[in-house]
Amino acid sequence: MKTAGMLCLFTACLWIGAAYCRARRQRLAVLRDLCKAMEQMEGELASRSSPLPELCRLLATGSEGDVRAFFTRIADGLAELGELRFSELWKRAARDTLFCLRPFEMDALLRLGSSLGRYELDRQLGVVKACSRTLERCYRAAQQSMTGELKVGMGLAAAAGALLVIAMW
Amino acid sequence: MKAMENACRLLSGEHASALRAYGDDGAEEIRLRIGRRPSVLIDGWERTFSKTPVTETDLLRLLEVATGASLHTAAPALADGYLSYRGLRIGLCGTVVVQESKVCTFRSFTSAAIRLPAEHRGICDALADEILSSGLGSTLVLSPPGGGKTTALRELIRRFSDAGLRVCVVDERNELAAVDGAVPQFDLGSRCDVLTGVDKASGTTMLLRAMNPQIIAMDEIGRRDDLAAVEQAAGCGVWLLASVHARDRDELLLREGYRRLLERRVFRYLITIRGSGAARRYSLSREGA
Repeated sequence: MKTAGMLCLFTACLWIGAAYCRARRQRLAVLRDLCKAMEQMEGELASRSSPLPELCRLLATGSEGDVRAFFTRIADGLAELGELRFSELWKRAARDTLFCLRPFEMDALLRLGSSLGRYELDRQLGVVKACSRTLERCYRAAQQSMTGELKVGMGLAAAAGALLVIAMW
Repeated sequence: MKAMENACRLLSGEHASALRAYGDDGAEEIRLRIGRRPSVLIDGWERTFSKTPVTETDLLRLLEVATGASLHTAAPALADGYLSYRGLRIGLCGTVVVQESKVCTFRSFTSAAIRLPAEHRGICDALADEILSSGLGSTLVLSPPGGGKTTALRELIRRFSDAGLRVCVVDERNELAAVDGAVPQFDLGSRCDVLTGVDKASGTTMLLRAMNPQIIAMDEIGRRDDLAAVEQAAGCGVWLLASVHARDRDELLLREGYRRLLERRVFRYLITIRGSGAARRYSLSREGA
């Protein structure tokens, strides 16, 4: 019975480590998808000057996972435009769907939301480019630190589990 | 009714409720001025409909809803001082930004006028029949601003189109057809093709090349480019159907470009609209008759 309990404890620690690793991978995937979406947004604005409702639908179709949910949420929320400003819809969608982003990544995205749709095309493109650059920097940094973070996460979880088992044996 | 409902979407909750309660009996325009109570224009008179003055936030809200939060898509129209939203024309006032002697956009907004389009079926039936029976020709509709030119033009388009003529419309401001999501909000007849959002000169060229029109219709010819578009189409074997701001023929002759058009007999018929509201009268005259 005691052995089974210790095994459960160790497994729980490993599970926490795995969840941490999954969150890191998810953040990387979200950053990657956001970078792709920004690239597409820039292209659409530059070539077709697409209106934001159409653009959000397009990005929702072309994205995956959380980023897809983010753009879908905005596109659906546009029915409430007027009751809520576009920046508020953007903020709400970001907070509801992109939990894994770090505060400064979220800030970059929210800054974009507060500027989108308010200026003429050149300025609009400038804002998208600035956000795209920030997110790409974050993505590269996250990619570089990924392997180390995963090792540390799983290592710490296993070590913590082992320590607990030893201490409680 | 639909126009009024669309206009309400542009207003803040309180103003929209007040406007709905006021009703739309003969409403032609809604005027919003910062610091003043909003008003509705009926029979040439403005009547306030809400106790709360308009704020800058109200105008920014209007702008965001009207452009679908996409100001960049409305930049060319904005440079001309208006926006289009589901068949409504929204005129804007404020401080403009001028770059290289051209109006680019607005820095701030102080007032807006939401024009409510009207559909009065049959108002031009007699005129259309007279034109069709005495030989089709290019027709110019005259009235002062807010005189009902667009409504009359829309009716003429519908009548000519239903009479079997291929009518192509250059709907620069999206007021004639009020296309919303590829669906025209107004009936322009069974043989009508609409080109939306393009200036009249480019639109006329595109239609002449691609659509084999018998009649080209355009609303409010006013700029030099518009007159050039009219002259271009006039020599290409198509009839024109257009409208212009002028009280009557004499007033029109005061303007050089139009005088030249009339002297060259580009237009065979002039339709002059007098009066306002239900008391509007439409008179047809034949040029050179």
